[in-house]
Amino acid sequence: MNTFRLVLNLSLRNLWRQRRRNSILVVAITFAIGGVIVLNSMIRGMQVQMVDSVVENLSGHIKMHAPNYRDDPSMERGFVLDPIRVDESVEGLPVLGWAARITIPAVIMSERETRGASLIGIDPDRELISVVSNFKLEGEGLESTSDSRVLVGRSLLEELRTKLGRRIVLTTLDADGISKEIGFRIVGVYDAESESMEKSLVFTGRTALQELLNSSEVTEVSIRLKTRYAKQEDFDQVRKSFPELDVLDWQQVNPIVAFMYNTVNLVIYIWLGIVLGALVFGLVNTLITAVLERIHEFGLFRAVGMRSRIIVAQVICESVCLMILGIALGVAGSFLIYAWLYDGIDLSAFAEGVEMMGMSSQMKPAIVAHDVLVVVAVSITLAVVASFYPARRAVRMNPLDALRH
Amino acid sequence: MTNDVVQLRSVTRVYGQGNVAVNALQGISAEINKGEFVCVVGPSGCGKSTMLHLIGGLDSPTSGTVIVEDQDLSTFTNNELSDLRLRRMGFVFQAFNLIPVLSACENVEFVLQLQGIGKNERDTRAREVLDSVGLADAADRRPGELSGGQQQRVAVARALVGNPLLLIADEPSANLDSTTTRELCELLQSINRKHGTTILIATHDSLVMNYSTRTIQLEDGKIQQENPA
Repeated sequence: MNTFRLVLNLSLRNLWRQRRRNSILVVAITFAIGGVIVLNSMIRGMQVQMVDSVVENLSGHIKMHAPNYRDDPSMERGFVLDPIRVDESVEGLPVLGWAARITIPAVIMSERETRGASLIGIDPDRELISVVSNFKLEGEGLESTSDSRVLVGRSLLEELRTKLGRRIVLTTLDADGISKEIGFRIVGVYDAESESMEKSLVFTGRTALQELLNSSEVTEVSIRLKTRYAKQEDFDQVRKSFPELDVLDWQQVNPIVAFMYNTVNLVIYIWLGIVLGALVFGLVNTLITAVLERIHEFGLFRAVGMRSRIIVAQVICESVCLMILGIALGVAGSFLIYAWLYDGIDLSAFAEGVEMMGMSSQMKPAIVAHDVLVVVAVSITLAVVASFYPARRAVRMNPLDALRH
Repeated sequence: MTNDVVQLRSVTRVYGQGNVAVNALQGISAEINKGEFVCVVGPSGCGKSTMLHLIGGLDSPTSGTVIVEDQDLSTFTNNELSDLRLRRMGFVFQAFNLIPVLSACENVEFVLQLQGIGKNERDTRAREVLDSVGLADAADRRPGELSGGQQQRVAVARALVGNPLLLIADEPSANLDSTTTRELCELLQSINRKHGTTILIATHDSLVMNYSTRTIQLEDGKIQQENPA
């Protein structure tokens, strides 16, 4: 304890002795740490938005399909919905809700144009878990699961060159694989954040669609949890109840977004490595200068009986103290910037790009405690590692030669 | 067990190699007894400092044996030498060599702190020793705020605070005026007499020699003469 106090006392006073030089280094550390945390918070914000957006955009946290449905999404790959069984399968999980749907490809014809899209049969009362409940609507919404009218996205409506209230014809395959042409009246036009959603998704009542397709099946059940991420145990529980179905997470449902999500994780650590690597050189340089200036002093320490390891500890302590101060200021600064950017950054100028990544045009930063802890732990470890070489120089010299220095 | 604190047996120290080799000490033998006040004298470059450094374990001889308290220093590891200097020796240097970031009292306490002594005892002992060298009022000042004489007295206090067996001083008066040198010598003499601390000083200052009980005169790395005072 005595030795620790001595080392700490000498280190702090030596740092204060060269306060101008050390202040510059602390500022550099502050900017590096603060910069890394702020950038990480932006990247994490993007990730959170990607996940939220994907989960909200009909995927949910857990999605069930009949096997091979994803290879051939048609009514032939449907399954009979048993609501009681679904309720039982999610018992005990933090469930916000679940919704069963029919999602099948369809060709849509207006009086002027033809387009391809997905026809989705929904139960409007259960869609509180998805983006459907947040649509800005012109006209009316679907009233119930037996409502046989359709909601069309504004972009698709424009491409079809038709209007609210007019009829469109959808061609799709029924449960027996037979082509069917069904007429629907456009009851509402929705505006979504994503233009691609507006162009590709047409909604109608699920029961009505089942009747039109001569089927009593659905093609998917989407389960939304109250937590941001589903745990493995949540999947296991649902899988156990539905062994005959594919039980998927959002990453399996949206592999492109999942790839971007995981790439971003890698980017965070590469960025951390580059910034802290550059910082280490600055730290080593400053410490070597500080050691060379005090070679005589270290010689004196050893002449009066200080063991080499205490001198090494002193150099390491100085490095760690500098780093801790820089980290404290950097973390504090990054939290201030986080608070300033809390409401989000407007990315509407890059709308197409951000939409491709499954994000909204308002990017909100998100600080993850684990990231901050990793930055702090790696920085302190690097401070210790970076000080070994200067510390070795401090004790390598014979005390007599050091005293003559 | 002898009464000798230090024994040098045929000690040589050669710096450099080949044509540039310098024989700093050439086979000297000497003993320093407990309680002696010994001055090692001679012209610059005669090997005085080298002799002190070998005795203090700061350097090792090219040949011969240095024995301190009946122990051959060549058998010591670096850490053991550090411990020996810390617990059995005190050093006073020509250039004072105080730690600039510590106050006078903290400089004195420094040695006690390395010895693992608790804060209260450290503080008491450091202030007592500073008082004994006449610097009670300057205890909280940093070296930069002290005169040369005061700094050297702090250095003496630091050397003494651990109650060393042997106090080694290398040209302690080189940077002091005659009045301050006299004060320093009287201080060292009183310590020698009062505590029986063995004192070994390298000097070419005749004023310092007057206080010694014995002088060892070196010339070209050889002992020319040993004179009891």
